[in-house]
Amino acid sequence: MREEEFPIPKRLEDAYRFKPSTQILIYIVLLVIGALVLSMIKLGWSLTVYIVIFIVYAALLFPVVIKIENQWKTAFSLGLYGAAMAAIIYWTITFLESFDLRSVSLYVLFLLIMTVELFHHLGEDIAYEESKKVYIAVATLSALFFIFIYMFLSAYDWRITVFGSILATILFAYAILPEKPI
Amino acid sequence: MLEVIWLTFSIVAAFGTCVLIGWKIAKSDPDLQKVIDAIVSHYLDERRFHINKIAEITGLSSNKVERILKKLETRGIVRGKGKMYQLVDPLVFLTPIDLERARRITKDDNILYGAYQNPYLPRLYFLTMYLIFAAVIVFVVLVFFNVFPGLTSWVQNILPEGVSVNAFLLFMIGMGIIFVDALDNIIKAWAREKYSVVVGEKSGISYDRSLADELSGKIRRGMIEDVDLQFSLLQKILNYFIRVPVGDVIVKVKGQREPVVFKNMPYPRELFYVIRSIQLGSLGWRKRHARTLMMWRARAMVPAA
Repeated sequence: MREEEFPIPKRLEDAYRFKPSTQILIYIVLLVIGALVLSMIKLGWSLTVYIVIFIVYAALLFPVVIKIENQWKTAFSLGLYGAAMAAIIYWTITFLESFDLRSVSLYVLFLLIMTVELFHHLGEDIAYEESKKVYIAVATLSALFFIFIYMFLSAYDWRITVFGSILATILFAYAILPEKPI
Repeated sequence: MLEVIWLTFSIVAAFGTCVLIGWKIAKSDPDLQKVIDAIVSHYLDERRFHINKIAEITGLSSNKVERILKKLETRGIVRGKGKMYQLVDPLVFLTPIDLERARRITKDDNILYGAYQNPYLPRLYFLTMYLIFAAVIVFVVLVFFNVFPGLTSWVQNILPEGVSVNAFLLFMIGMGIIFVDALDNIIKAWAREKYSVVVGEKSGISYDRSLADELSGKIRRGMIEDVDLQFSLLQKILNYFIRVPVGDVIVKVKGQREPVVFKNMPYPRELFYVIRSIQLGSLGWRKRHARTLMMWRARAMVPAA
């Protein structure tokens, strides 16, 4: 190969990916397969549960299959994030069976984790940015996490309460810190 | 039925709102575009420039330019000292500390490519950590469906009085995700940023041989006999789906029987071209595509509509 022949696409990733139309086709096919599998599961769940599962599945799948980089993709990706979060929050609220303070703190912890982790997954361009704003958000979320885990663990021995809360919060903060793509 | 309507309404409303927010976030900033254009047009090839010079070219205020340059710096596109800035080569993905180390060791050579061998993703055994999450899910399913009544009553017994078992199961799923994500970060940090591969215009290829190495591996420009690019089936498939494409780059060295293999290098085709260029002693390719490469690196901040 002569040096003059080295081709460079405008987006370097394009040389390694499926064509955009193929990506969209694969996404649609996988969505149809997902819907088909869900329709075959007979567990006596209500229709709302199936809708929630399907929306979350669509949201998890999207950034894995769709590698197009443009304004439409970012907007749609965040849209799916919103849809999935709305579905999860709705389902969690209907799932509430106890209003005991510790139970509520566990529900809140679950929602907090899902909010951040799903955002990591779907808003990767924003989540990867190492800026002051992101670090303030990480600190705030970690503080909230600490408060609620402390509330839950306060029923146990003080060592478990204090050290358990600190360790779990460190784990949470480390997991949600912005990650470098390379 | 009312539940389904409410759920659908919430999903559609949240989707619409977030699409609008996403559209606004992803909208290209014309000032940012101006600054990038000014740098690409006037200061390619790592020439230093002053904030005021960019302000003069773009017609923006110095404060505005400084804010934009700081943003570009966090993305690794430029690096600055005081009011002076310099474009980082678009194919350099090293941390600032490792880039400094590479410059020091290559005696301030023009670094054309710098990245880490990624021993992580394409090795299936690393993916076994996701089994931890799978184990959590199995545990949750067993308790939720009361498959083993003994297990369910054990969970009830360890929980404080009044705490819902289902709430605890949801919390377990959440903590499973957090635990695996944190573990993933630890493994990446440990494994990824240790094996640097640096290609300098004059110094040739420098690379780390072990975890504690300081780029002791060296292949001088004149010693490169041949360079090859290889993708395993797993790498090929993964490249369709992972964020940064990887592949192996094999360098045959004159007088050495065994080639040097750089495993799972990010953007392997581009590394192949860079090595080929320095082997041929001609950077025409790099110069010709410098603008495209720079625009590509900056495009992460300026998505095309």
